[in-house]
Amino acid sequence: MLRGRAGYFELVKVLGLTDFKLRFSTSILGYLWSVLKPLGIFFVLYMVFGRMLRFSADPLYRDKLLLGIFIWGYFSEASTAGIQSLLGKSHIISKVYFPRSIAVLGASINYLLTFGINLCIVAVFFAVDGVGLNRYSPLFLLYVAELYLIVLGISFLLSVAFLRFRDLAEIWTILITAGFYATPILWPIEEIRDPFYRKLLYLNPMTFIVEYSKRVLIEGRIADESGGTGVFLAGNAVILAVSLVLLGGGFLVFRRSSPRAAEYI
Amino acid sequence: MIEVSGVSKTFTIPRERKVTLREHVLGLLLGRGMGVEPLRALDGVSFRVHRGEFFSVIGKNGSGKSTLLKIMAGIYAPDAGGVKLGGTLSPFLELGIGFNPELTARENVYLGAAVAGLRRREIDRLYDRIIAFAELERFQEQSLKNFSSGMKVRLAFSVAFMVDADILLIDEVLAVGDAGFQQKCYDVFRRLKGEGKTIVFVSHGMNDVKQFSDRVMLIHEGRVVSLGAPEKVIYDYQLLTAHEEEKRIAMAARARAPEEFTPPADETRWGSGGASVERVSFADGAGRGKHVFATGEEARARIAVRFDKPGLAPVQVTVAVRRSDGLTVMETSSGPIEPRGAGSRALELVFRGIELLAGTYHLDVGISSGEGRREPYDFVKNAGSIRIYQDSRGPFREASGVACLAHEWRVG
Repeated sequence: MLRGRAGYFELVKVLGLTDFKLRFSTSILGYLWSVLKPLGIFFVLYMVFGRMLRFSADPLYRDKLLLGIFIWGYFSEASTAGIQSLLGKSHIISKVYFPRSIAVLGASINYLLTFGINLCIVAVFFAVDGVGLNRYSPLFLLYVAELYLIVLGISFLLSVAFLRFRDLAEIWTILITAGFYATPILWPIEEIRDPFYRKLLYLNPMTFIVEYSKRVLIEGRIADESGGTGVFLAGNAVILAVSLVLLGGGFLVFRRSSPRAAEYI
Repeated sequence: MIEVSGVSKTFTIPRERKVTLREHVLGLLLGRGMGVEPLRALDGVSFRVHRGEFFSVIGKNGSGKSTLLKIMAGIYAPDAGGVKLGGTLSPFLELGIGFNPELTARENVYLGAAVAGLRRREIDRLYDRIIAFAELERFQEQSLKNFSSGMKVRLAFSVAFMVDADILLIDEVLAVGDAGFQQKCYDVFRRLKGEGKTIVFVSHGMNDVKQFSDRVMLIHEGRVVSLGAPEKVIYDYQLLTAHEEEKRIAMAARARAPEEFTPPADETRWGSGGASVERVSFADGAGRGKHVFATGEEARARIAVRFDKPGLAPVQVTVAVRRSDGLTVMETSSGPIEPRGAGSRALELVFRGIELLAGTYHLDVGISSGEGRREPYDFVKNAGSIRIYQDSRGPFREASGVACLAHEWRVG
């Protein structure tokens, strides 16, 4: 084939940048929408749950809500785009050979880029509320990395299947909505008193990511309510394992099924 | 340079295309199972293309040409067999791959070239040449959606042919662009050939194939039927298509009831009345009605003439045989025909061994007064049609032209 690694890298870059440009080129506010959308959701939810219903007495509730919404926003958009990445590139896939993983990688990088920029907005809000950096803050980068691996794993796992079962798009929308309520974004996890439900919620890997991100960035602690760090470390091991298994499994499935991708289009 | 060995590919085509999960589940529940029809697109295809060769692949629609090209390009994975490439490859299966209408010409060049495998540095270097070849210097910063289709094609072509690969796969692209641009494309072909590029070309245009190819391969129903010098393979292809056409016509002739033409009353018909063409039909030597004949077969045109005015002087019937493109093959007139009261008379124009070669022929039928200033009573354009085929086993199988005049060869 006409290209080595560098050529493929070029393709990932060009496809990613083009998608990025196209996502925003046709609207007047353009890129701003990727910030305005989660911000809008934040203001609605904050008014309802933070002010009117008073879910939490925590003065930092709104910062936690904001962080949760941005993390979830990234997860939902990036995974949806990842699942649809092969179909979105079908006009190229059916005409040119390139490793199919490039289409998936291109989509995932595109959204990671947006997420990175959006986090700067979150930082501004944090600064206003006096939430600064602490010695545990760098751990957040680890969670972003793991989140990225999870998104990539899901994309690999489902993008080929999506070519054959278009229902996946609808199913995924429902799962994303369900996931939003099954993750401690609106509600603080401390409010879940029933140990059964608390355990149940921790079956959701996103619970770890959102909860621990809030802890290390906003609360600046890694110990849990009882003061021990053992649970936290175990939790970190779980996220790492989940993200690696998802990525590995997803990639294996992808490698086996993607050579036929062009035929399903 | 390229070695294709034993490549087979079967597609499974769902009987009813199931796209959503619900359809799959329903299909399973109702016991229709995974209703698939295997379609054998390629069946043990092997060949070699040498370095610097211009190699054409021909075949009818659905013969497997495009599947073969896609397998060579790595887009489809073969079920069996393999493809070995001795060099870099530029798959050029369609123009404008990756182009996006929202982007400018410049952005599309970079995108298209990246899809084709170029690196940023190479694109930077080639950019001006690409734009110049496409003659789009003035429109570089305009978005593609504002381009005419000709401009888009030119841009796509330029991008595709600037890619510097050892092997090019080209699928039917010459049917685009105006004559001037097509000429430029031919020049590019010659240049690429001169540079020693290996080119695999899939086309229906036999002239292009003949003009450029070193060797040609004919694929039929997924198998290699013929491979070799262009003239020989193109001849085989023409024989194949002629044979199929003949089979199709013969089947149509059997299946369809003999056609009978009742002349219409519209602008294709004129005359002063008095006598009129009532009906035109065709029959073979045994009097069986039909309208498809083999060259050399006896064919009869049956014309019913009606006399509408009593006491008419003898009339003359004229028949013109025209090919579908309008060429008049012959025109002939009968002798005077006596009217028989106010009624009809049946005429037969008999061709003992019709000498027309394959094609569709129309008959214009006219009736005029037999004497004096030949007043036209009725003139009907396209009063009837016949189809002629050349039997591939008969003596006329290789004749071409309008008609095969009776002849013989004598060697002194």
